[in-house]
Amino acid sequence: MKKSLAFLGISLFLSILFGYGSDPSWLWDAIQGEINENVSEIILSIRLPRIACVLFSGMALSAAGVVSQGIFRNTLASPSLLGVDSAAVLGGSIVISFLPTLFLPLGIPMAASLGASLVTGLVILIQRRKFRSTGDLLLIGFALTTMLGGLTSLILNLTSSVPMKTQMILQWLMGGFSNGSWPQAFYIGGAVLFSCLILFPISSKLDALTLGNEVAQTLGIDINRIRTFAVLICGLLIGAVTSAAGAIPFVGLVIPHISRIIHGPMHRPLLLGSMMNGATFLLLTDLLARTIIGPEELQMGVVTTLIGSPFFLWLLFKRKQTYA
Amino acid sequence: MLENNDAPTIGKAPMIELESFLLNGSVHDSPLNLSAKNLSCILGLNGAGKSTLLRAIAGIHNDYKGRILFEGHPLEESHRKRARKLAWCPDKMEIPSSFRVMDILILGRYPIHEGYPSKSDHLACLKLLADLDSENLADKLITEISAGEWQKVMVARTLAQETPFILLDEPTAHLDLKAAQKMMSVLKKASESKTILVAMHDIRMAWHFSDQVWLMNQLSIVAHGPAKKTMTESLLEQLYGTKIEIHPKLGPLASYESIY
Repeated sequence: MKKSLAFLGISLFLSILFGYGSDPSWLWDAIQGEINENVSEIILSIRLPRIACVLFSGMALSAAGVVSQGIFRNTLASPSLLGVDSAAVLGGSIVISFLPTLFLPLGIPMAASLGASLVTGLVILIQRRKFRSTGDLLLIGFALTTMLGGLTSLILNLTSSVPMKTQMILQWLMGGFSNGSWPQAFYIGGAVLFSCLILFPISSKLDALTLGNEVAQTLGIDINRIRTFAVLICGLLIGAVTSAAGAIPFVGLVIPHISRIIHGPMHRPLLLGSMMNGATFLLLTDLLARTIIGPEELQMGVVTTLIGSPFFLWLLFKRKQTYA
Repeated sequence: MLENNDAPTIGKAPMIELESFLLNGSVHDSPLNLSAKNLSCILGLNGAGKSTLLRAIAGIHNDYKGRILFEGHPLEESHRKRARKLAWCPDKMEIPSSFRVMDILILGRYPIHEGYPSKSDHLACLKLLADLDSENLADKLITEISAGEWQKVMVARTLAQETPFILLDEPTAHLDLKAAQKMMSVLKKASESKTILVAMHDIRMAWHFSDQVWLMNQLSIVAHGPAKKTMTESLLEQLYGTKIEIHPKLGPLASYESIY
């Protein structure tokens, strides 16, 4: 846990230090009292809000991943594979195309969160009927992802007569944190804080759920209540991140896996560790995305998957008789 | 209907009572009783409804008619209160990720520590493992233990809940001979202060260890009463559809001669 915190600290420091528009030596200058107006402007109003968005998004995606894996008792049940991300995207697209621009700053996050919550709840309802296996769950997720993606395309078609709207949706779908602002950072950060306040007290109930829904019931767990919390939290977190940066897959699936190998399967350390590791991972990928070919930017998803997938494979091979 | 109503109900309410209870079979005219501080076994063929009956009593399976009473009252609605009263061990349990054995046992005490286990919870779990001769399992991962060892862990997890009523679904199915005997003697010992109901297939174990038996066939309880009185040759043969002799010392033995 200390190592994870140290890594988070280091990546946060590197993220603030490096970036387009300033030499890394700005910190040394600042310590000596020489403050360059231009550089401080870049760092305070562009780099810091972006970093805050990235930091909180990493936490949010990982926490949502841990919760949905816990509630479905399945380590493959990440929000992006279940169609939750796609639902947030669809919600946002609907708002962009049908509401006046004035309402967008509030409307997009709300619609994204609502869509994400609805689909999380829907997956729970479908799965509860009779589908139990991992295969069934992933098939449900696949069906929903495809359907929601189709609906988003339909919205894009419908707005083609208004090029400005289509442009806005496409830009939003591309994702990334290049327009990260303080209000967005506060919204995601607030969502993360609120979720932590609910999740940490019920983390041992999530542990009990791993024994199976029925055994958990005989241990005194009110499963429907936990499910309701999970639906709200997944929706809130995924909606917040998606409204700021588009859908970011991968993190919610892989970071909880990696963290389970490092911190074990008990949910209190797992949640805390996942949030720190997720933030570290997203900070580093964002740092690479914006510096490697700067001033141009690589797409977030390119870096996430190019670094994350090999690392994940390596971990899977390396673990022998450990957790996960 | 094969009935044998010798249940000793001397002076006080029976601990578990099935009142005009109906899973899917025929209704019982008289309520079925299971008296306090007893080890009882449910016997019957595969698919006879043993697990379903246990699940119904545990409050998980709700598709039945009639009432199930504990000390004269139905189970509370509140899951939390139920969990202090009744523990249930399914016949199989799949865990999505790899916990340590000790973590699983301590989770079994959730109703006691409510998520904040202390040293005493740890010690109580260690003691349960020691009772089953399995202290060596404590720090192992559940992915590296055998099916029999996992079964001991599941039962120990159930006992760890420290409830007055305990329901166990085939707790000896995967155990070797010695471990099975040990398991039954641990349960017998526990039944001095608890009411334990066990579904099982080993009729000799049932004969030797249980105070009462319930015989089930096609989702109905066809006979019940004190073990040694109820388990007669004719009744067992009728239940299992095979030749069974009751040896005065060894108990009921299946005869294989007629098969070859």
